[in-house]
Amino acid sequence: MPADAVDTVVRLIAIELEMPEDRVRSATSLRGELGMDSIAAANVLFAIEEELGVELVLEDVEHLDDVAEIARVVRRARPTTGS
Amino acid sequence: MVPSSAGGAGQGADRVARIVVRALDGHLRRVAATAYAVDAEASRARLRALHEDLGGRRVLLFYWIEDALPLMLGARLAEDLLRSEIAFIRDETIGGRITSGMLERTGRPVRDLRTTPAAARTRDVQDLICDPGWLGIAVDGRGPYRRVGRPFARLAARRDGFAIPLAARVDRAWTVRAGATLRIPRRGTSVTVRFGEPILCRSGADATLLQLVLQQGLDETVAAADRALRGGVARAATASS
Amino acid sequence: MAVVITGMGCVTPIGTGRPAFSAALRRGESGTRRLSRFDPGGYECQVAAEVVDFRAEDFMPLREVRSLPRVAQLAVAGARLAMEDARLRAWPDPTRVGVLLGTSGGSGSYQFEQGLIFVERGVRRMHPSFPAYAHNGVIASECAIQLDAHGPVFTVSSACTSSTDAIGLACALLEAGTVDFILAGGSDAPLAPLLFASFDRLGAMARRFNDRPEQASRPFAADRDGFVLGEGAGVFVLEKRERARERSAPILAEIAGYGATCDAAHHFTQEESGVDATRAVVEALRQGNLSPDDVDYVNAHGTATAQNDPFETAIFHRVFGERAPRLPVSSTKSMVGHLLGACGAVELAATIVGMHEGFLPPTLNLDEPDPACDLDYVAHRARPAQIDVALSTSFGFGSRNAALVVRKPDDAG
Repeated sequence: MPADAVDTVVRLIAIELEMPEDRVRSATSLRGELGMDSIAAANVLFAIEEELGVELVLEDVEHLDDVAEIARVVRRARPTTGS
Repeated sequence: MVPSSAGGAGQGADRVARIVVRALDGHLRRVAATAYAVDAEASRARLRALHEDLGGRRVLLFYWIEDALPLMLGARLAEDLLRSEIAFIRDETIGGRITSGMLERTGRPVRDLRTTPAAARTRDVQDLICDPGWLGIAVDGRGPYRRVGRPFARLAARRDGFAIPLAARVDRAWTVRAGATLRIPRRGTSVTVRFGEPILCRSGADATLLQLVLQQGLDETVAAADRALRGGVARAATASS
Repeated sequence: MAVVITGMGCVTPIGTGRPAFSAALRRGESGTRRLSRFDPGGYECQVAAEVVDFRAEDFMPLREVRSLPRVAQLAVAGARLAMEDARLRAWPDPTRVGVLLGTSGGSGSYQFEQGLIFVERGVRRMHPSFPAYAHNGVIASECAIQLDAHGPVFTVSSACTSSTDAIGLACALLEAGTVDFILAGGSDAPLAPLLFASFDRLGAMARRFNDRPEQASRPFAADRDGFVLGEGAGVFVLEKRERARERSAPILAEIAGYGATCDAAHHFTQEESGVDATRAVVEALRQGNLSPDDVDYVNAHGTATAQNDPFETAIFHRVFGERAPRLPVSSTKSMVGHLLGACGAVELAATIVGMHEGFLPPTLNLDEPDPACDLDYVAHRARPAQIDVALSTSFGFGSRNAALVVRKPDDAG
């Protein structure tokens, strides 16, 4: 479900940063261009985990700075135990 | 496990911090022998009352980095002044490493707030947001000096609990500016620890207003502690004269 | 808070009544003139802000005009104008109407004049009603008598925060359900030799502009020289929002919040750290559940003394952070002078006029700002602007601090 993961990530980032979705989609750096700080990033991860009922695995992830990278993390996600 | 900060520089800073921590720890032990605690009983009683009201809630104790070492001194003089359930947040500044190092020596839990990589920081922020207990943090560790930043206000709001301003003031200290401003208590100092009024932080609250309220709360708590210190010093002077 | 202002009356050095006052604010008129109430010779400061277009007999029977102290006359006139503005001919239930007015000097000038008569010519030449008029409560009770208010009636005396405090306390009475309407505001008529001479001796009033009186009040300017003493009154009709809607009253503004604190430090100077002063503003914002980002305009205390203006600027920096330089701040004292106990009410009136009519009242005489005063003070000329939320600050002797936050009503009309 690659397309879905990207759509979900874009939507939730757009909600958190209060911006239109196409701006999020076209940004090359979420931190630099859109000013997403660690709290916004934390909120986005929470939102993703809650909506998809998964636990995100952040091993080997350095940056969390673009949609594609976050979507990759989403695809690797494990379902939350007991959900 | 999320990868932590790149080896060399981090490890070097850790080594320096460990040496400094040992030295400061010894220094504070000697200072404690000659220090005078002002209103210690009142502070302990206040903390007990706060814990009764807010024990099961998420609490964020916040203070200026310059009060961190005086806080350690206050804790030495009054055993239960900093309850063991309070976990202090260690960031990667020198001030943060030193104070958390000293706290670890007292057996208190420490929570990491790494700076890099971004993924690690984000995970640490998530853990702090979710931590159900009492946390302690120096809000101006990364500067600017004695200012509550907007990111802290957003973190407090997201945590959906209470923020309690905390001041630890001394009247005899060296001031060291090493990135952050640290105050190192000196022999014969008086010290007072004061907990301010709990501030309700709600998820979705306006961050600018909350930032202002948190700033005001800590400024007032520090001002009240300074006043108490002056009164206590005066009382101590008359008592010994 | 659910308290609204439905009527405004004012008697000021730049105009009596809302239309005249508003026009003068727009034009940036100065009400500071050469002192004429008594001989200015012998004083270093020879300017004052006098009310000139006011005839007491337009507002009360001639009998009252002769005996009432001026401070009470101004108050009654302000109260009548407020009631008219609120479209109230009579109160639905006079037992549920209160009067809460602030004053600093109160009937001090009257007491001084009568005191001189007592000394020079004996008690028989004094006013027989002296005991009734010689207490500061007379300004509120005279309004109650003339306007038929049978509820709580008092005067608040807290120096330069008096009328701000009166308005704040009035809100509390309304919220508590004790009254349905309150006439709240303040009045002061301190232009008499005793007080004037005392301020002059302290060097607190502007001394270098006696030849150009209209330029004497210079808040935030590098060459400011002290305040200009003035007289005047500002009175509002306050009621709960639901009641105002029920009777289709014109709502001028909502009172969102009030904060009052004291430095508990000095009588004349504010405490350096500004912690308590800041808290008054924070409290007012919190009550209204408003962010500092929501404020569109600040009407400052701006007395033009050496100490106040930079101190107040620092407070705005602390509250508004990075936004501060872009937030318009102005001092109405540049036009009407320092009305002591009435300044809070008259300055709130200027704020509400600006909010209602869409312009920023200016700060006159700001040719070159003090380097420590680095905000946008709306220099010289009024500017069109949309003001939805405004803050008004006052600081008083005794290191008092007071702040009011007002907002445009949702159903603006």
